[in-house]
Amino acid sequence: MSINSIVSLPFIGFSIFVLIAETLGYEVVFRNFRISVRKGENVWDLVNIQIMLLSAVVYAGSLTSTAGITFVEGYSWLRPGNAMAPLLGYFFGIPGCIGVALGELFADSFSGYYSLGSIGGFVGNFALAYVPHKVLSDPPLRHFKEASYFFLFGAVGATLLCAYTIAGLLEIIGLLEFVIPIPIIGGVAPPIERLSQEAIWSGLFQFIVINDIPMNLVGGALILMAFGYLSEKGLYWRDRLGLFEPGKSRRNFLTLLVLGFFTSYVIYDLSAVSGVYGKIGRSEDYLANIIGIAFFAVGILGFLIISINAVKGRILSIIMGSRSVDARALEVYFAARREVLKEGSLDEAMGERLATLLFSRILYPNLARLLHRLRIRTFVEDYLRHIMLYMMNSKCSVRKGVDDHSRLIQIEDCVVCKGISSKVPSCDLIVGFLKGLTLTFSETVRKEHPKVCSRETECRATGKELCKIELSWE
Amino acid sequence: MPKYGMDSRLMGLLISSDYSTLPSNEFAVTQTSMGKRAAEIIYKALSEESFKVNFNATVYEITNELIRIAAHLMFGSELQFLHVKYAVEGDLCSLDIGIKKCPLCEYVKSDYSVCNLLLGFFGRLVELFLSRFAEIKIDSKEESCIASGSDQCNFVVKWRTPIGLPPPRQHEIEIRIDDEALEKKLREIENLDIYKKAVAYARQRRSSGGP
Repeated sequence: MSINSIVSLPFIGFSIFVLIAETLGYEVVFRNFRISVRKGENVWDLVNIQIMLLSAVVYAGSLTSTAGITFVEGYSWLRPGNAMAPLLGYFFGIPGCIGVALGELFADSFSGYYSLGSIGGFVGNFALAYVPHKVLSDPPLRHFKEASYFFLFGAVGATLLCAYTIAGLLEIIGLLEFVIPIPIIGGVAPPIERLSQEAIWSGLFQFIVINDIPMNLVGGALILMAFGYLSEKGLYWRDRLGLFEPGKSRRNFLTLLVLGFFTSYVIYDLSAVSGVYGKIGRSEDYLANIIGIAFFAVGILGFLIISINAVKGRILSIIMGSRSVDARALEVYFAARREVLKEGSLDEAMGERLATLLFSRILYPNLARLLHRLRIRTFVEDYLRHIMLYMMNSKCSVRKGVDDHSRLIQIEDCVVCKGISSKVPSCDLIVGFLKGLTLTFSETVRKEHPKVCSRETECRATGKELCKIELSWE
Repeated sequence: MPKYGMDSRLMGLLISSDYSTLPSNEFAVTQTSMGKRAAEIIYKALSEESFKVNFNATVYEITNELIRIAAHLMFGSELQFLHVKYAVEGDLCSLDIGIKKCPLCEYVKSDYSVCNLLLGFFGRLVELFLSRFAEIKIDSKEESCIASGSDQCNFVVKWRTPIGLPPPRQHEIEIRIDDEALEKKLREIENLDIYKKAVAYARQRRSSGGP
């Protein structure tokens, strides 16, 4: 056993410890150079499980599509895909870190490195994402002190942790004579390259250090660039804490983790049988890396889809979409209200009041953190339609208006004018509701006092196909 | 979970808005009237087809069941009953309805009871149903309300046994509701698309200008 592998033992122990603790739902807290463990919040809701899987796909794709860019033969070698590790870890928390670890395993399974040594890659890459996740605050990298912490711990520290874990475990596995090809079904297992001690510590270890320090710094820059968009889309993990009732989700997560290991084996088996094992993600031949590029594209597309729709839909459906009563009961209530109050029963002022109450009683108390990330435009585009769906049972879409400060809201099935015939548009309640929500959001969250106008231009009650409401703010 | 589900707290927010804008007397009167009208619509839809009278059950059992079913249809699963029980004193019958979770007054803090919508709803339901057998006059009151600090919303609906009819006997008013059976019945009623009938009736009332 070399001196390097002895030095690596505390690094390996630490990486495995945080991986197991965080996976089992404990939070490892670092404060004043002391480490403590406490019961963490269960983050394994459906959205985070999706995020973990997408992180795995994106990371595997980014590694295999950009692997092995050689600058100086034998000295300098970069895998730009590693820059995704701090990004995924920071934004998505533990689900992102586990996704990174799984992604490394997937990448190994078709790039020719799949062996028991991949355990080192799994644990090491988890650590590579985990340290920036712990070091960076919200919002990230705003002060020199935090930037220097990130350089010291997030880039250098995380890289050393990763490098010692991977290289150390590889040597230990070699010493234990476990460097054997993993058998495959339907063919002969591809041969495995056994690295000497010198190759591990002078080659692999150095490559990891030379590669990961600059790549983690690039990752920090990516975090800075992406923070605005991803946090506004509800993807920053801290903003969703406590919103979901995880239920049996930890069990689902553990099942999926096991399934992830199994999937990596299936990929390894299929790529070995089809003869592409070891040819993807090993060179700058991007035609050969096409599977990796496809992985990356699919993962990014998945993130785009959930950022556009799924997260807000899920969050708002939990906050407001209890579906505790059939929406047609609201029609009965509106009918009774119209009979009694006649004029003003469902007018614009009523809609505005309702919006203010909804915002102050339900939305803001539950979603303050998330709402503070939003601009008015994002609130209108991303949130109004979900609120209309869950509160008013009215399916609607938001289109671009005449300028950047206006939007056209089209309501397919309006609960207010359903079954009504009228010569003039009749959805005053909705007009006021949309205006009130936008105004209350601006005043409460943005501390701005814009002039908000809403006007119904078309209404189903007048025989049109849809109700259309123009909403503008200045 | 209803197919066309929505959050019943919306009604609570509308009530909260009315509470803050209307004078207390007007608030009470309008909310009670709304509750009565909602009861008429739901009862009409229920009695047309779905709510079959079980001839083995007493009228008191049916009233009890009707109240729970109609309230569930109108206010959803967020409205949770603590009890529905009868009391008799001579010819004076009363129905005591306790609600442990009320989505209607969730957003109101008040010195007085504010669930007038439910008050009107329960009172009118009892009146509509019992009037099938004899002419009765209902007097209903909300005795306590969560909005004013109580741990339950409590309603008492009173009526006198019509002259010539015997007052109910003790065993007739000691009613045990089988929650599982009631739940099953509710699902059956929902599957009959009761809301379609209710909405159609509500629209019919609107076009004709009243019941």
